[in-house]
Amino acid sequence: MPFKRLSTKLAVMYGGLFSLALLLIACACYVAVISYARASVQQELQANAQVFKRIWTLNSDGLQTNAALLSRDFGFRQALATHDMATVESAFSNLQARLKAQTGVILGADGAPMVGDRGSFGQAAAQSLRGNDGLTPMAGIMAVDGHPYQAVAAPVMAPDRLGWVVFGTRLDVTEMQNMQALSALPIQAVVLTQTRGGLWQGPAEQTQDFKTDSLSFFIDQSLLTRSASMVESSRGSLIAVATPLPALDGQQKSVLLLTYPMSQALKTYRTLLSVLLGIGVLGLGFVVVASLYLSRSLVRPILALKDAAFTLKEGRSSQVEVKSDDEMADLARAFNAMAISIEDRERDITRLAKTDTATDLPNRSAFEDYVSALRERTQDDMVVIAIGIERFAHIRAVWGVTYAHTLVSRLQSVLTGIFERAYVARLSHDTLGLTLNGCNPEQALPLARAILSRLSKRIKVTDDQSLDVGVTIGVYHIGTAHPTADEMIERALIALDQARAAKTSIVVFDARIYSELADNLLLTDQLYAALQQKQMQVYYQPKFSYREGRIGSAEALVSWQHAERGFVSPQRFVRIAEETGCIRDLTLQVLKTCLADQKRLKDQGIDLDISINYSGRLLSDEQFNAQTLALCDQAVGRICLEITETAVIEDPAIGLAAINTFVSHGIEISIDDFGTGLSSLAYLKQIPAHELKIDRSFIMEIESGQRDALLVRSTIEMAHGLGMKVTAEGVETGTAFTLLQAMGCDIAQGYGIARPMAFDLLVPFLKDFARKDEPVAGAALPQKLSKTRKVAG
Amino acid sequence: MKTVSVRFGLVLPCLLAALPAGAASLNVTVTDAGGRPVPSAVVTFAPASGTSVPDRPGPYVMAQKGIRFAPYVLAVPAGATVDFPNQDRVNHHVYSFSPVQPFQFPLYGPGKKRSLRFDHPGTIALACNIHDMMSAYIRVVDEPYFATTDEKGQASLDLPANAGTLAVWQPQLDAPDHSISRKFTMSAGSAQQTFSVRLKGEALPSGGAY
Repeated sequence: MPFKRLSTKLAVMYGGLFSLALLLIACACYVAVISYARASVQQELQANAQVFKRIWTLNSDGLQTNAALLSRDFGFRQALATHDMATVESAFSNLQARLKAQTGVILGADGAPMVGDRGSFGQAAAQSLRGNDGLTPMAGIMAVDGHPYQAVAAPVMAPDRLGWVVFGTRLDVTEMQNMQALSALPIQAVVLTQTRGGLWQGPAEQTQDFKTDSLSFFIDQSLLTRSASMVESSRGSLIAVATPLPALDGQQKSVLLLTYPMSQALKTYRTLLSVLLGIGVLGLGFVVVASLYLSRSLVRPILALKDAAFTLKEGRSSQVEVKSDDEMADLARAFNAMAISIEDRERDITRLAKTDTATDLPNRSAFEDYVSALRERTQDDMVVIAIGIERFAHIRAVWGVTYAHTLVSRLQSVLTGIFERAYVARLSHDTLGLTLNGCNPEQALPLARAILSRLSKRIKVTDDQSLDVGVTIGVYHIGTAHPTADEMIERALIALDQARAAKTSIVVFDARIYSELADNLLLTDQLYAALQQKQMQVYYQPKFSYREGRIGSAEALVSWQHAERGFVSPQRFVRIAEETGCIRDLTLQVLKTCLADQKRLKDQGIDLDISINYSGRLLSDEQFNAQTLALCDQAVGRICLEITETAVIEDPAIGLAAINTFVSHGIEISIDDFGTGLSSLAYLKQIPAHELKIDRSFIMEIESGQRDALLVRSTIEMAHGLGMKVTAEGVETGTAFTLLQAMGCDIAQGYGIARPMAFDLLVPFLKDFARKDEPVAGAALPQKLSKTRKVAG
Repeated sequence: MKTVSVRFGLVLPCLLAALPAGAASLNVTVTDAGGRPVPSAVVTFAPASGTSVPDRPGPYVMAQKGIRFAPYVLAVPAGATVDFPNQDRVNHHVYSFSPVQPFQFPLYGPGKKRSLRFDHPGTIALACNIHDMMSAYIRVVDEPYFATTDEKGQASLDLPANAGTLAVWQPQLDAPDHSISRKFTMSAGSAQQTFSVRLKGEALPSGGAY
């Protein structure tokens, strides 16, 4: 049986066992008492049966004697012999009255009733005595209409039989009660006779409590065993014994049934049973109370230990009170020792986890706890400042680790010297964290400046050594946001990173920039997906050749229409592609599309040179270069690679070799965005480029700025001098177009010529341009420009 | 005195009757179902055709002796007188309620005698009013030839060679009127007849009983 509680289990086991034993004893006692009672009543009944039978015999004998006296009376005999009925009748009634006999009859020599009860009694007597040759008086039971009678019969002999004198007493309730009165016990007596069918029958009023079948069965059994036993009746269980009685005719079987209610028999023992029950109940109660007490006292120390263990689990100190001196006490003492050692160890672990061991300063975890607690405690404004020590690795390399750590400790003490309320911790090897509450957003920057100015002074590291330290500071003010402590610190560190990247001393965390940075990660994932699913579209921006007066080439541009974001800026995703390396896939996809499109144009009789942007990063990848070369070799027209300057060429040697290989394979090289990037004159000298593209920022200003116009003109001249043709980007107005033509520019590209367009629009544009505007005149251009705008839009 | 003369009157013809030539002796044995002899059975023979009746002189005595009647059964011809002498040391009150001839001799003492003539054939059951155990029977017969079986159940009759009815009567015999009979023809010479009868109870009353 599963018990949830040990105390219940113990109580139930002990209590249950004892109770069971008590119950068994009680049962045994009860059974013993009952069987003893039954046995004694049985004996008593059997004795009573003998007494009843003896009384019965005496009664019968008396009646018999009197009947015999009458039967032998000379006068009576004479009267009977001479059929003097009057005399016979008077003599008979005289005796009947004297005997107080209930009923009687005189049977004649022929056996027929003559005098007295000539009704059913007389008939029954005649039936009983028919053929009887007895010479002596006799007694026995006679059934009259199913009712038992005690009857005596005396023959009248003179000396031949003149007839019978018969007297009878009906054995009704009253008669039986007279007999019952003789017994000390309240015994019920009833006489039953057997019917022809074998059933036993008695007066209805005396046998109505019994079922005839079961009673008959019982009587048969009792006659066999000759002992008292139990019989059921509507009055409950009875002890009964059946004793056979003599029959008047010697054949009619009859019994005297004595019964005694079992409840009466047990009455005497009821007190004894009550006392036994009382003792049992008291004992049971005592056992239950004792087992409960025992189990409680056993379990109490266990419960105390359990509670202490839970307290310990929750991280609180816990000790168990030791009261006794037994095994439980040993266990409790062991538990206490364990709890103390756990606490000690936990304290050590916590200290180690929250401390920078080298400087004994609080570490980032401790700083986080402090910030968190401070936020809990004060809802005021608070500021978290990350202070980065510049050139820390250098300091450590030059002065040694110990010195570097000492420097950190010194900085900490300087900071706490300035701000009494500040909490300073070492966030990483070269970063200190400082937090201060009660500081509003406007105070954050001045605070950072104060720190900067104090730390930028010469710091005395050891007694004989001082050092000029440079620090960068990232500031995060809580403002209206509700970040976690971890987020607050992280934002201060981001601000620090931003400051370092921007090479400024102090940056206050800007949520907007931060969110853009976070978005880049998402965009990266989406970029990968877009490349996988080839969502990138290639747009072509036509380039107008002044010399040929037609669109001889186009620049392939990538357009990314994202399902959720919409149009994504190429500057943004190309930068990400370069940083993550998927620029390879992007470039390959564009290259393949362009080659296919160029072929389709060629099939329609249009020759178009296509320029493709080629990241400087890719030039260092020999494998990729080989792949590009293989693809370009299949081109049906001219392919130009525009080397973008958004990224540095990582390995100039490999890059230049690749460019030379491309050139030798007939691929044109173009220097893109000239004038803004990292390109230098050395660069121009080394790269065997065919084309130089002047950045749109110069072209936009060409109309207004003399300086820009001069720069453009000089660049065109220089490029021509180096054997390169010049393309102007961002040509939007007719003025610019004309100016550039005058300056000797070779090719114009921009919204003024055409916007970038999908391949499907490119073909009709090219056809339309060639048909309508041939031959091209410079004066016609503004008009033409307006047309192209319409087509492109 | 009168009684004596009557007796003589009876005795003489009987003696004369016994004498005729041609008469022969019939031995009758009466046994019960178990083959035991039945004493006190009266055997009678009634010839079919009338013959002279042998004279039976008597005397016929039913004595009371030792609180008993003796004999138990006495066969007498009709018209015979029976003496009832009291040979005991106590009084007796002899009576009979038998319808044939009820009578009673109120108490009479030792040495006294009573006599009574029985004219009608039949059975007279005798009893004593003061001694219940005393009982006896007088069988008054019509038949000319009769005898009573002895303790061996045997009786002997001298009969003429003639056809007739042979009958047996006994108080305990279980038959109508306690009697059975058969046709019988007496031939010359002695003859033997056996009756096997059924009895109710003992043939003779035991001491103390009725």
